[in-house]
Amino acid sequence: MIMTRTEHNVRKKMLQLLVFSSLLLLLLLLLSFILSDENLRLSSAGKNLPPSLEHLFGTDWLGRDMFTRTLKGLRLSLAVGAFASIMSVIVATVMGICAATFGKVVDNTVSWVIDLFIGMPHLVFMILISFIAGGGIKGIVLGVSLTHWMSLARVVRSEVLQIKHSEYIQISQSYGKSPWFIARKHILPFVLPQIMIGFLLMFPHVILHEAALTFLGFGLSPQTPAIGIILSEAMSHISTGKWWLVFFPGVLLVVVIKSFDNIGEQLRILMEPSSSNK
Amino acid sequence: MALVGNNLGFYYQKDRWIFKNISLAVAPGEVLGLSGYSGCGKTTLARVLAGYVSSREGRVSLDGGTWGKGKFRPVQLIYQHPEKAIDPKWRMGEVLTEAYKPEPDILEAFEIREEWLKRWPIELSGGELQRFCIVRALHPQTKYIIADEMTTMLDAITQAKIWHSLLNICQSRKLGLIVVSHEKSLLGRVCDRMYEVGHG
Repeated sequence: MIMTRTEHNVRKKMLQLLVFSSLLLLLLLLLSFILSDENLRLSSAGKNLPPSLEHLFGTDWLGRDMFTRTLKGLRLSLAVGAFASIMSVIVATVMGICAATFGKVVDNTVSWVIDLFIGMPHLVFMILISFIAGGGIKGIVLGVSLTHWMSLARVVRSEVLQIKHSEYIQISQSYGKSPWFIARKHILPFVLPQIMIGFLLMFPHVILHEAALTFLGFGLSPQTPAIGIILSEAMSHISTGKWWLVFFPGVLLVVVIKSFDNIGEQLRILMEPSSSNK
Repeated sequence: MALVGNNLGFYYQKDRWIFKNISLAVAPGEVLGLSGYSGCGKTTLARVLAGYVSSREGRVSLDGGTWGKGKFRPVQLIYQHPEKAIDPKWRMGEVLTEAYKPEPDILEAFEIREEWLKRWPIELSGGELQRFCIVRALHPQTKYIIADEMTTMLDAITQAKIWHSLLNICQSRKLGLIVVSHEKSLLGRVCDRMYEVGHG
């Protein structure tokens, strides 16, 4: 009796956390559309103002409202994040399923490529790729999606290997069902939860790396309002006592990333069969 | 007209034969029992006969020929563990109609209730799942059925009911049936002929 009640509460708490994180992200996204570009006008009157009710995050050395800049920057970062996550999930799924179904040679090749990519230092590799691709959004998306697919590909490969020889798939084959039917009806439903969660957990990685790449100067150009640009510009002003330029955008970035991480984690736990009937 | 295994032999590791020189045949309407101690290769032999794996030696022929690839296999194998033979992500209705749509009288013969079709596999017991597996195997094109320890994990009453229904259908459709079991008493009751695996 007591057992079931605590379990019930745990589940409820997880759901609340999930809803809270999603609502927070939605609110930030909405705000970034509502806030007008007017606030980004240069104004000599309102330069370097500390945080106040009028300018929640203060203003920068050109008089632009930092709250507006931060939210619009985050929106771009989220869009890049979504795109790069989808790309790397696609790469991972294709690689994983190919490795598991097309025999030993393909499997060995894919596994070798996975080991090769994992063995390389993440950030250095990403800088290299985005540099070759010419920087910008293209460089970041390519850099991130080509360096983040490996772990998910491994998961997909092992999942497919696990059920490829299961009895119900062999029976389906004995009915004369095509490989396409089996892939679509038996294998895909089995790996879909892993793919969805892999996608969500990839998100924070992508945003952080986009910020990191831009901060280091290999990512977006300075006029795009991305979170990495804001942070790297603000760094040069921190020594003059304008702490709000780096503090608020940094905190908001951490909050957004933690929210995504939260959603992914809670969904993973909620969708696990052993806990799904509590 | 028969399912014939001629001089069959099989190994997983080279030259470590699980069985060798096995020849057997089952005619339509006949019930053949396969018995033997655990680990003597009964299940492997069943899989070879059903075409899931090909034998290393000898060949299996069906009514004088073989079966085509990518088509429905007229020799259907019923496994020991129904929970492994059913996709856990499918509802029972989909499981039942994956290969064909069974007539209501077959469902009735195996006491499959209408309300089960909407459930998930984990919501049914092993015995209930096994009935679905048997009905699935009774496709109109099925000519031979191999039952590999089909009712080993069921209680005596359910076992008796299931065998009664299956034997009736096999009689009326003239299906050949191979019963794999280590229970001599069961084999003695249902089989016309016996074959002992792993004896010479």
